[in-house]
Amino acid sequence: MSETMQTIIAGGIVVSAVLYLVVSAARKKKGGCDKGCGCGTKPPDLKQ
Amino acid sequence: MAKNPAANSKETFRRVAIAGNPNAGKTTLFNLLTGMRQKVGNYPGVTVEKKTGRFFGSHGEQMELIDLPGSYSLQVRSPDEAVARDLLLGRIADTPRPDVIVAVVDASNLGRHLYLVAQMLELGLPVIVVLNMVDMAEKQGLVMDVMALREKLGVPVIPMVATNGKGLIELKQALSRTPLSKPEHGAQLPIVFEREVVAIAKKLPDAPEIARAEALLLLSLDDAALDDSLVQNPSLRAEIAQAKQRLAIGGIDSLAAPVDARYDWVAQICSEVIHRRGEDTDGLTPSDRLDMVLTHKVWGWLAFIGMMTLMFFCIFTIASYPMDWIDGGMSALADWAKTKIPEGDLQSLVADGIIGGVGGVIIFLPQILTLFFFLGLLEDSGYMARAAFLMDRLMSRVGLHGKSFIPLLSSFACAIPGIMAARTIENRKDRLVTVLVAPLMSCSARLPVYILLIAVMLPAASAWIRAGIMLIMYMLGLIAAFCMAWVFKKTLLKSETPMLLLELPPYRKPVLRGIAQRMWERALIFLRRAGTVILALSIILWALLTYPKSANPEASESEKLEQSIGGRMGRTIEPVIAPLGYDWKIGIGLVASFAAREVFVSTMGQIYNIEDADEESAPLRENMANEKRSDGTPIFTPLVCISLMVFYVLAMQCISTVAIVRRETNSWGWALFQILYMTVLAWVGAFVTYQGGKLLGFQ
Repeated sequence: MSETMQTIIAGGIVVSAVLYLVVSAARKKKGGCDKGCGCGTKPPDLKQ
Repeated sequence: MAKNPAANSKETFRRVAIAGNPNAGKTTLFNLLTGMRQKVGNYPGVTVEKKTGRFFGSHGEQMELIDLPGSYSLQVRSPDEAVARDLLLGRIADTPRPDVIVAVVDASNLGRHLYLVAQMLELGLPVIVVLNMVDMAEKQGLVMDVMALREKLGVPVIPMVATNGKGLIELKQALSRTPLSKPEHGAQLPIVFEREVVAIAKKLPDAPEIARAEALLLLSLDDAALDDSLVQNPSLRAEIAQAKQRLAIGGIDSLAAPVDARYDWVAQICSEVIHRRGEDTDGLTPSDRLDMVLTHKVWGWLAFIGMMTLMFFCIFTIASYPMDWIDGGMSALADWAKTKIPEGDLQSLVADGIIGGVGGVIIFLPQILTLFFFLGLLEDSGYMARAAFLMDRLMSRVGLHGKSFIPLLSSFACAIPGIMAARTIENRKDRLVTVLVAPLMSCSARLPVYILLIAVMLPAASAWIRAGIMLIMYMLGLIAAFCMAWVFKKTLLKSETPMLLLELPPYRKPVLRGIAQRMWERALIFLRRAGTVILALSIILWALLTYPKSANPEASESEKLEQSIGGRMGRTIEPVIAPLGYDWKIGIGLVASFAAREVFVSTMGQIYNIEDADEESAPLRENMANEKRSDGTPIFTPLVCISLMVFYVLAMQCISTVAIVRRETNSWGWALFQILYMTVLAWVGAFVTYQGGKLLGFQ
C-alpha cells in the first residue's frame, strides 16, 4: 500500500469520526431522556 | 383534572401498577415478574422514573406492569411521589389508568406501610396487597394473621418473599382472577366530611370512582398545595374553600381528619393481625444492634472510612491481574498491527491512535467493575441508607438538602444519572445547588486518570498506600462539593434547608445475581462508550497529534509532535499551566480531555506511543515515568502527579455532563457558570498544591 493511499484512508477514517461526533451531538440536542430507554422523560423546569 | 386520551385504548391486556413505600420491595417484585433488569431499592427514592414491562398471568394471558416511584402518601411532597399519584388517578396523558394496583408492603413494618394502602383503597380500583418480606418478619418474631388481614382490608393479601419468588404463583393467580373485585372496606371518615367529599365529587368532570378520590385529595390539601394542584376552575376552588370553612365551624380540620381516620384504622388492624412470638427481650432487632455501631458518631465514620479503604485496596489488588492481561493483549495487538500494515499514516492511526487510545482506556474496565461490585454490595445490603444518615449530619451543616445524598452518591458512578436524580428534590434552589456540585464527586471516568497517575508517582508502593491516596482524592471531591454547596447556599441560592426524613431499612443479604447484572450493564456502557465516543475522539486526537507533518524528514518524534496542531495547542496554553507544574504535552492531555476525562489517558498513550514508536510497546506508566524535561529532570514528579490529580478532581471536563446540566436547568447560563467555576477551582487547587508543595520542599 502506497503512502498516499495510507494517508487517504486515514483521512477518511478521521472525517468519519468527526461526522459521527457531530451527528450524535445533534441527536442529543433533540432532548428527552439520555439513557436510551425511550421513556421520553423531561426534566422539571427550574426557571419557573 | 386532565382528561386521559389513552384511556380509550383498545389494548386488551390487564394493566397492573406496583405501588408502595420506598424499600417495600417493589422493584424486586417488578424484576421477578418481568425479568427486566433494574436496581434493587435499598434507600429512598431509587425508582424515580416510570418503568414498564410485560409478563404472563397464571392462564398465560399477557399483562402490563408499571413500577411506580416509592411514596409514603398520596399527599405528595416531591415530583416522584406526584408521578405515582397522577398515574393512579389517570392524570398522565400517555399512560392509561391501571386496572389493578399491587400494593407492596413490608411485613416487618406493616403499621407504617398500611397507611398508603388505606389511601389506595379510596381510589376505587381493585387492590391486591403483597405482604412482602414475611421471612424477615418471622425472624423478628412477628406472626401475621393473613386471613384476618384479608378480612379487615377486604382485598386479597398474598404473603411473599420477592427476593426468592415465594408467593409468586399465588400473586399471579390473584391477578388473573376475573373480574377483579373492588375494595369493600376502608378508613371511616367523619360523616360530615364524607358528605362534603361527595358534594365536591359531583362537581368534578371525572368518572364517579375517580371523582371521589380526587375530591378527597382536594379537600385534604392545604391552600399552598391547592394552588399547585390542577384546579383552575374558580367556582370549584370557591366550593372547596366553603366546604373547608363549614368543616372548620363543625370542629373538623379538613387536613388532619382523613389522616387521623386512616391512622386509627391502620392501628386497629395492626393490633388485631400482628402477634409477637415468644419473649420480647430488649425489643432490638439485629439491624438495630448493627446500627448502634454503623450510625454512631465516631464508630460509624470509622466503619465508613474502613469500608471505603478496603474497597480501593481491592480495586488495586484484585483488578490488577486482569488489567495486566488486557495491557499485555493491547500491546501485542499494536505490535501485530505494525507487522501487518506497512509503515505510514494508516499504521500509525491503527497502532497508536486506535489501539493505543482506546486500549489505554479499556485497560481500566476491571477496576471500574470492582468499584461497581462494591457499590452494589453496599447498596443492596442496606448500608447506603446508613451512609446517607452519617452524611446528612455534615450536609445539613453546609445547607445541602438531605435528599442530595442520592444524587451525590450516584455521581460516584457518573454525574449524569446523579444530576438526573436531583429531580427528586422539590425545592428549586436546593436542586440547583445539588446539580452544581454533583460533578465534583469522583466519577468512574476519573478512576483511570487517578490509577495511571498513582502508578507513575509510586510505581513500587503497596496497594494499601495507593488505596489511601485514592481515598484522599475521593474525599477531596466530597469536601470540595460540600464547601461549594455552602458557598452557593450563602450567596447565589439562599434558602432554608428542610429536614431529611430518612428510612433505615433492615439489613439484607445482597443478591449477587442482581449485582452481577448491574456490573454487566456497566461493562456494556463502558465498552460502548470506548467503542464510540472515545474511539472517535482518539482518532481525531491522532490527527491533531500527526498533522501537519514536519517539513524536515530528519526531525525527532518529539519535534514532529511539537509541529502538530495538538502540539501547538499545548504550547499555546503552556504559559497558563506552567505554574501548575505541567509542560505542553500535559497541556495537550488537558485540552483533549475537556470532552471526556478518560481521554487524558488515551492522549498520554498516544503521545508516548508516538514518541517511542521505534521501541517495543512498554507500559504507558513506564514511558511517562521516564519522560524528562529539557534540563534532564523528570516531568512526572510526585508533586506534578498530585497537582494533576487535584486538577482532575475539581475540573468539569465532561461534555455529556454539560449537556445534561443545560437540559436539567433549562439554561445555558447555569451550565456555563458551572464549567467556569469548576475550571477556576481546578486551576487554583492545582496551583496551591504545586506551589505550596514546592515551598514546603517537595518535588
